[in-house]
Amino acid sequence: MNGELDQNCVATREQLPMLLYGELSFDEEETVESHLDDCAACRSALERERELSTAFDQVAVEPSRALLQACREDLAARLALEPAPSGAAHIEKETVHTWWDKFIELVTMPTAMMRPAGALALLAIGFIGARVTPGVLPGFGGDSWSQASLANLGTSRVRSVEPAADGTLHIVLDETRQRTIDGAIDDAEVRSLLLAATKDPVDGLRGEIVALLTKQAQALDVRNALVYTIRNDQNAGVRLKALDGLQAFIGEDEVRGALTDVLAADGNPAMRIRAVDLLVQGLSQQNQQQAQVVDRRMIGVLQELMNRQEENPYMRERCQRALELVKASAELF
Amino acid sequence: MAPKPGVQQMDETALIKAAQAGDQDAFGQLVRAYDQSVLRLAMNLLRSPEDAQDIYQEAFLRVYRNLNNFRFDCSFHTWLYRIVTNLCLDQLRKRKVRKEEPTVITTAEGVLDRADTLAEARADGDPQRSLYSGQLRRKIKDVLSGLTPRERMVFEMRHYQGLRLRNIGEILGTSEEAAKNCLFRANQKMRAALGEFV
Ligand SMILES: [Zn+2]
Repeated sequence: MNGELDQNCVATREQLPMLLYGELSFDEEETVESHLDDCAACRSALERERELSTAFDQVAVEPSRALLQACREDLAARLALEPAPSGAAHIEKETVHTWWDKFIELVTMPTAMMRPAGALALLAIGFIGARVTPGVLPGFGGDSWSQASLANLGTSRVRSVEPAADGTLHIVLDETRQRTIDGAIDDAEVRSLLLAATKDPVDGLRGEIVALLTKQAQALDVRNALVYTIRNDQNAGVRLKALDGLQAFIGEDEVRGALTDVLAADGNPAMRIRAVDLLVQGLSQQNQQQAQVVDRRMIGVLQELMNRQEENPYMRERCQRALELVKASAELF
Repeated sequence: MAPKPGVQQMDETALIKAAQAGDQDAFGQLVRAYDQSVLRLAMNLLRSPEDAQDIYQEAFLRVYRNLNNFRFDCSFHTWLYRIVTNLCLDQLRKRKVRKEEPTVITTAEGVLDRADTLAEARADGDPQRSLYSGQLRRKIKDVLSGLTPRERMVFEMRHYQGLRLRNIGEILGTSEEAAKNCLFRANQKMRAALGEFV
């Protein structure tokens, strides 16, 4: 306290970090604890140590999901070229099949953060396009699977979608020959064509389709496609449309996750502002009875935005508000 | 809240054996059980998404290629982390060589702007707030990058990954005691550089 620490204090202070880490032996902990009982100065030193420890946490970074997903895709691509581990007795054809199946699933998974670039990603997109077209692909069984998917790459593509007067949709497909399909938006075939076309290379078409899908966001597969668009679409206009469609679903982990990614990393300021608006709106409307998961990552990202001294005052105010709401819901439960 | 990385023990043994027999799907499951914490470790140590991504690829490729050398004499997590930490340590050492030492040493001793940090804490009158200030966070990053690669590694695994010192020793091929000394040195340096917060 007055700068003169006695021996016990010196010894105790040295042990404080290990005490917090829970790495003291039983006896050591006893000694430290009993000194702390008697020494206010060391107790406040322990408090400062705790604060410092919290400050350390502030510099920790959590890799983005996009990075994780990119790593997984690259690894899948590398492993596809690897020979089996040395000593592996046998690889059944079935195994190769499930691996590819798994890989495709990984890449097309609704939460997937696929980077649009890269030959493998394109291959997967092409394949999805083919996959949803009935009759084009044989079933998944057998080893014709991967050949079939390669052979049919890009054979079927949505050219345009027009709503008809009766509320159904008129879809023009490009295939080796063109054909058309008519049906209501909640028709399974129509729906899967629309979902596949959210990855179409033509911006305008994606925009239209995403706008149509936002009216069906109560369906999980549609929400997943919108989340995918928010995270991956290169066109900010299309991303904004998808974002708006998810307004009513802030309570969903995936949706909140996507909003968090936008806040953390979307290069478009309008997207970030829209994201924080939706977040504030969604959270303030949220039913308090609804069990709310403590979204640490969201809190972290908002905190980080505040710390970064976001130059836009509106954005700063909104982040502050969102942070209060997220924290409030975290404290409730 | 956050589930411990890894898969249930029984499942994991079965998965590893299946992967060893050439089942790539099983291997994929093993990867996904641990890859997030591997990436987090690399990212925090190297502070570069590109480098972290390289470590990720190289680590899991090595795991894949050497899977049949895994004999269950330690946990899969420990084995994986041996590979990952070796790669990270190599990378950190390469950087040390590239960087000019003086900068590192100056920062490690905290001579540079220790006074600023303290002044800030006092003037503000609210140490809690200044603890979170951008300046202190920058400072912490400086000090972290001034630690030796091994100190950095032990600190990272204990503080951010929450691994026990015993396990850290096992991963780094040393004793629990040596890991503890390393962590102790890291903490001493941090405190010296971060002023009288502690
Ligand atoms: Zn004392």
